[in-house]
Amino acid sequence: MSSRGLTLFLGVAVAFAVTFVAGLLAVELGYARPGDLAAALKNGELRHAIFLSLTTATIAATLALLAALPVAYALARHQFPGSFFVDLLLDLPVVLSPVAVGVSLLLLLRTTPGRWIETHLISFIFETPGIVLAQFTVALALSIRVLKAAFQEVDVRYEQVSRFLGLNGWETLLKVTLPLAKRGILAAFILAWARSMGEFGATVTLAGAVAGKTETIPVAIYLRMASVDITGAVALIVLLSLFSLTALLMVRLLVRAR
Amino acid sequence: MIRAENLSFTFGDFIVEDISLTVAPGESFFILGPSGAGKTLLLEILLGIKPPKSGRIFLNSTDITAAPPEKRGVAYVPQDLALFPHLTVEGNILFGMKEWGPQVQKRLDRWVELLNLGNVRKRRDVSTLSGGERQRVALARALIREPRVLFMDEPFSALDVSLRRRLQLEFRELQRNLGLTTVQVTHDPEEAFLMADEMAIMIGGRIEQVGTPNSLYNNPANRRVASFLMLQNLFFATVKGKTSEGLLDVRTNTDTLLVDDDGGHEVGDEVYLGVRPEEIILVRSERVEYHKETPNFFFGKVTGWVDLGHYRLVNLRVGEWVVESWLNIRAAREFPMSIGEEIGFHIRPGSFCLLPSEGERS
Repeated sequence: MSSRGLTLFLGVAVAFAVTFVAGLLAVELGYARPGDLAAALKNGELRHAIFLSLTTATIAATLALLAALPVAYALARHQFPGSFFVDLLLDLPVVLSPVAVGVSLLLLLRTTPGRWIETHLISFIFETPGIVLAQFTVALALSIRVLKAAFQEVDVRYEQVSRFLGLNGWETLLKVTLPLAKRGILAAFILAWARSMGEFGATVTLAGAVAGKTETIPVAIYLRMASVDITGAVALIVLLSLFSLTALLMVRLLVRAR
Repeated sequence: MIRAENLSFTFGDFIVEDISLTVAPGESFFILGPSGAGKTLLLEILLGIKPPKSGRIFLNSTDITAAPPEKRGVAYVPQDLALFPHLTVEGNILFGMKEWGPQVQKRLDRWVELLNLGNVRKRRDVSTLSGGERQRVALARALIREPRVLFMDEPFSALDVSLRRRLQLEFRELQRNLGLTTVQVTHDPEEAFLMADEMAIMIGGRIEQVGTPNSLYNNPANRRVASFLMLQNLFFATVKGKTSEGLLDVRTNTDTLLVDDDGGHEVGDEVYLGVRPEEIILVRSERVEYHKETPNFFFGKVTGWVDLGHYRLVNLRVGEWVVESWLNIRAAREFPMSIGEEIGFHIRPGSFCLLPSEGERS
């Protein structure tokens, strides 16, 4: 059976997708030469945004990973009453619009316990911790998803054998399960970090777009565009794209090294 | 010693009820049965990986039914061995040893020597080991802790045939020399016959029979055990009388046979007569005259044969029965036969086993 027609069709589809995405990157360079980009990045406000994004995303991804590890392990290893719904519920922030997540966080902080935390412990609304909280919320769901798959890939036989060799459940988790899921855990962290770096909707809703204060890279891009500073916006977009591509490349390498 | 009392458990639609068994100290015990019989499930219940619905398990005289795996003092070697891929060979062997010291070093040296692991003990990557080496590392890892019972789930099944046989013999040697109590699961009767002191035949979630390899081979309890242990020749018959020589006069639809009296049957009993293919003695044409008066002498028509390496399986038709007979391949070369030819054969009265008819006939 001839499949020349199909091959041609698939080729055109791939060419379209590649041209489209590569075009998105290439078009940025049409607005600014590399020299302009380097100059823009010397701007103090942009530097602050880059520093803020790197720190908040790293903190958020770390916290999300720590919170997600036990949950993902429980979901990967145990069937409990309602585990299906728990799984479903915890997936929601992955697909929910980030603005909706931001508004929900805002409303949560308006409840009595929320207000108490806001006044006595740590202030989120229009503050830097708000950025971390917004990023953490979207990164958590993603981390649980990736970690659950990583734990499921570790054959339960290893854990059983470890128990019969005298190690209890905790020791087995530390000496067998976590080392064997190491690559998956690292991949989960990188993906959570990249997702946090790009987070905008929830951040802007909860922490606002306060220039020089809660201005992460995506917020800065938004503010540059609003003030028609195309070169500044493009410089940040190129930088963000580089971060994201590096993260994706690392995840691919981790998966392949398995 | 390990003892299971009235274990019942379910797994999906699979139901296993009322299993009891006892494994004596130092014994090599096998759970033997076809795929899907529930053997691995039973092993996992005995190990405590899955909880039984009811029943109890004792190790020596301690009830360990609810004990967590690490408190049982038993070792487990699964089918895939589960060597830890993130650890070295020594890291694997020493995994269960909580502290390091001269005592542990001594034990490590001893097991490395006993299991002949000297040339691979310094390997960093366990994935570079051969099948046999992986096997021995898994055993060393389990045995260095000196467990009270060693449980193994078909640990030889992944090896190729010649290596498998050698390692089985080596392991049997080791098990006997050390007086290890072992419980193994297998679907391979040859493996069980080779290595077991005692075995339980498990079919369809039931333990059909427990006994020594010899007793199971010679006296299967029923047709299910007989068929599983390759006792292919089974004929429905009725005990018609007892002879003065102490033999049973047993009749099939067409023939009369003389069978050793096992003391368990009365005149009128319906039975299945079983006889192993290797117990069918073929008679060369020039010897037929001499054997004509031998008890249980028949003629069968050759309907076909297959050569299976070291023996030939010959199908003979006698009236409505098809009789399978094994002939040593060397003997087969010197035994001319052709399809459709009538060949004489006889069966010694002691070669039969009598199985309960269980109210059915086929």
